[in-house]
Amino acid sequence: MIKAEQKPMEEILRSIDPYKKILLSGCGACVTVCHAGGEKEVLLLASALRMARKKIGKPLEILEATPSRQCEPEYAQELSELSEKVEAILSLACGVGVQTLVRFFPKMPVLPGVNTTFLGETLSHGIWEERCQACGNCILEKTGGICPISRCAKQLLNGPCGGSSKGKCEIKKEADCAWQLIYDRLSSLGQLYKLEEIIPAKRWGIESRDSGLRRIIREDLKI
Amino acid sequence: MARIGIFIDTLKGTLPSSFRERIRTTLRDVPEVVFSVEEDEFTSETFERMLKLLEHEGVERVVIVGGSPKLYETTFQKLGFPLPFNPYLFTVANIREQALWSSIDEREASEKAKNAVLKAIRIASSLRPIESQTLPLKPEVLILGGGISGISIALTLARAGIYVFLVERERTLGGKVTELWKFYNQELEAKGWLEQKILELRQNPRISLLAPARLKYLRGHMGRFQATILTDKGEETTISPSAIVVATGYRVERKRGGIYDHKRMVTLSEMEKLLSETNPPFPFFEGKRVETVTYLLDDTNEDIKLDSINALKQSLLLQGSLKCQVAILCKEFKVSSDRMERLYRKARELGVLFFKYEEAPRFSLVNGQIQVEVKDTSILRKEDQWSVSILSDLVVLCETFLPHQETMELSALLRLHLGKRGFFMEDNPQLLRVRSNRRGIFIAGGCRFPQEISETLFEANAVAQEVLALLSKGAYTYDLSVAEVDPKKCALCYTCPRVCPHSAIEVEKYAEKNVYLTHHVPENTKWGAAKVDPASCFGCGICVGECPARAITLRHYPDEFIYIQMGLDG
Amino acid sequence: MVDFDPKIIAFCCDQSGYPSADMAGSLRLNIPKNVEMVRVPCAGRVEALYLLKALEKGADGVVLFACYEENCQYLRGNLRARGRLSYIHRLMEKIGLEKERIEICYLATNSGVKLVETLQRKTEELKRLGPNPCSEGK
Ligand SMILES: Cc1cc2nc3c(=O)[nH]c(=O)nc-3n(C[C@H](O)[C@H](O)[C@H](O)COP(=O)(O)OP(=O)(O)OC[C@H]3O[C@@H](n4cnc5c(N)ncnc54)[C@H](O)[C@@H]3O)c2cc1C
Ligand code: SF4
Ligand code: SF4
Ligand code: SF4
Ligand code: SF4
Repeated sequence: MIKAEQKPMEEILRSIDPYKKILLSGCGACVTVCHAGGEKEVLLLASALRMARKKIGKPLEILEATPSRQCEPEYAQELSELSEKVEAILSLACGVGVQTLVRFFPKMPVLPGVNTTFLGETLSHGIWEERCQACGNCILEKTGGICPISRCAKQLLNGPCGGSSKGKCEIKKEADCAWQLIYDRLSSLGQLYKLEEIIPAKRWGIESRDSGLRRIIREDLKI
Repeated sequence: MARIGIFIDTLKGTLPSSFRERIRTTLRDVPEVVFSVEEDEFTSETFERMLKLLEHEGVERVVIVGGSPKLYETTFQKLGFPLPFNPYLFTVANIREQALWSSIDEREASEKAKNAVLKAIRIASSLRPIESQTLPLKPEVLILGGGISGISIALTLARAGIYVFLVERERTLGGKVTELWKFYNQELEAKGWLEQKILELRQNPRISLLAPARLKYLRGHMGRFQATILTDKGEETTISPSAIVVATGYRVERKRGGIYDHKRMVTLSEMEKLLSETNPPFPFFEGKRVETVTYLLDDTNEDIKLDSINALKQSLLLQGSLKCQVAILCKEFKVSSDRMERLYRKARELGVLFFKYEEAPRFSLVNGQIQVEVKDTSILRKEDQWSVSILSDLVVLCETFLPHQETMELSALLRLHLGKRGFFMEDNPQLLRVRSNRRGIFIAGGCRFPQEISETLFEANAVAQEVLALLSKGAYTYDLSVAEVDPKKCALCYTCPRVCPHSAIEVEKYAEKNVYLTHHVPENTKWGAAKVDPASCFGCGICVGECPARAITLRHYPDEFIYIQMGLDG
Repeated sequence: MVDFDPKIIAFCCDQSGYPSADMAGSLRLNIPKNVEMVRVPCAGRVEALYLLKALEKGADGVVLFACYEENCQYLRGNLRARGRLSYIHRLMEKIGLEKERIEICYLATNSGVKLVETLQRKTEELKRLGPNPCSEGK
């Protein structure tokens, strides 16, 4: 799922500095799961922010809410009543959720409270790691299910760079070399022959971000 | 508004009357308080009086003002509950230990007491009844591991009328004992003793033996575990025991490398085998008589005493009837087991030599024998310490006691905790040695801690008694003073199943929100969220504070009580 | 030093803090008067939020009385309490509140003396730090 991390307190404080009354909105899905913006974090952050502002003599009033998922229009709209009572919204949802609110509350400043960090998985409780960069054309079938786009520092598609050493990446010494992982995995699956196929360079400009905003349209689903 | 009755415990008149008077003044202004009466102590007669008064006044909440709540909680447990309503509808204001006795003067004490009483009244007003529930328990137990622990627990339980499934992964029963030749503190031969036990086991109609077999899945909780057992023929059986005993023992590993690989370096187990095959008067090794044997007891096993026991057992025989010269080199010799002191003295009298070393002894090969050189530090004066060199036919090494390789996997399957060394961990080393962190799962024998047979048997008996105590009533009754998940708020983040120390929470299979695992879904499951098994929950509240969605409440200890005690409005 | 009576909220685990407070009374030791004792079933019941709320709503300091490591009746309640406290300490630092205002103190069932000493020391420390500048109504 989407993984996020709370922004530095100073940055949050700076962004809400002009306001006396805000809505702090969490999100009940991805960011709850990674303990960055669920109800628990909303209440903690709200309390901390109130204290920080109290200390500098500029008391802040905070309304607290945590819709189930901030990135769906219906859930976002649940906040409309509360939003009328405040000057700004601080959102602990990922960047998607923030922008859903932006879309529905055109006159309201909506500020991010977390850094949306990556699409990742839980390694063990409290440790998350990146797994996918939403490149738009998944090649996991060719790489034994290990993603070189997100896990290789250089996003190499056809084997490791010269810096791969003892199974570790030269850019981040504590990280496994993605290509070592790919090799090991294919070898244990008995599919090393897959390495012989050259993976063509990614067409970033067609499948991916470089061509501008991506959009999925399912004509059949449209109502 | 709740109607509250107050009983002021004068603690046999030891609370000063002026102090009590101040409290009554406080109480006068509280609208919820229907009556406040004084009692000098709580006895069965007091209880009768209380009951009448409560019924007569139509009061539904009680505050006891007096000593520590611990005092009343134990008295009430002993004497039964003096309330005509749910036992959770009472609370205590501790004005003795935490006010009268811990203040500078009576004025300060009265202030503290007033605060305590007002808080207690607020808590009383928001108390809710907590019901109890009963879980039927069939007399069926699953035992994993058919070593000496598993066997003796199975026998004890079966004799008491309990049906036992005994799952052993090997073809033969007996575990480590099958490799033993003698017990150090009993005259019996291990083999005969074991055979008799196994015979008894096979004849008992209440014991079903599944071997070779292993546990494949475990679902559910105490009273309704669902255990899938896989036999080596690939057959699967699912049983639903009420309780589980883990008695999977341990394994040993020998030291390797360099001279340690030499054939004259043997392990305690190999020596045990050699001895069992020996015909007096002399032991032989590769056709040659063995005359000198040196034991090296190093500190690989820390607090495990088995090496010392074994070395002593074997050396008594070697030095005695088998006419060898034995030397034991050790860092410390552990004699704290049953009768070990006496055997140790006997060994010394027979002429077994004991050397204490600090620096590791050195080994070299001299004419096919092993020369052991060691600096003996058993003499305290440094100047008097000497170096010894022993030419040995055999050097006996201790093995390292380790958990079985698949212990990790098994612990994940059973959702049990492992201790630092990777053995199964007891719930509480002082009090609950044979209980695991999960209610209804017990651990016995070497899988918790390698120890000698008499201790193992003692522990096996303790486990059997615990299981009997649990199952003999046919049901387990518990209060719903437990954690509860609000399924609407749960984000399925898996924090609580991971953090619960008693593995009392699982994410119930999904019906509405997600469909991940579709097999084994109990019918009519409409939950789709984490779910606490109330019979397995210990009510600690750890999960509550951890849930990122704040979806969990502790039924008998909600936020509100904490905020009230903090003196905040919540 | 400001002369004031610091308000302390003391969370007391039912296995250590609470019986120790009772023990303090039995030993006739003086528990400072501005302490609110909060009985909890386990230190692990103490949510991170309670620690912040305590400060926000008027406490000058907080002490969390938990069982010694490896001595928790519920195996990891004290460890979770410590983890949550470290998170709160980080938050406090960022909003410019002294970390020393909240501490965790490990006790056995009969540590009446240590409990009182800790509370008395905390009172002195808080007097030195002065009133909590972040709390409501100040
Ligand atoms: C060399 C040596 C000498 C010893 N000498 C003495 C002595 O003289 N006197 C004395 O009192 N003690 C002695 N002991 C200790 C004694 O052997 C043990 O304390 C005792 O055997 C432990 O019994 P147990 O049932 O706990 O474990 P074990 O005997 O190890 O039995 C465990 C059983 O569980 C089975 N099992 C393991 N994993 C699984 C699984 N996943 N599923 C199903 N089954 C499983 C194993 O195959 C085994 O049958 C000695 C030990 C050693 C190594
Ligand atoms: S708003 Fe972001 S965090 Fe929330 S559900 Fe949508 S994607 Fe996940
Ligand atoms: S190849 Fe692309 S889509 Fe597939 S996992 Fe990697 S980044 Fe994601
Ligand atoms: S911690 Fe909370 S949100 Fe996560 S699974 Fe448990 S109940 Fe659900
Ligand atoms: S209260 Fe404790 S035992 Fe019960 S579910 Fe929560 S963590 Fe587990």
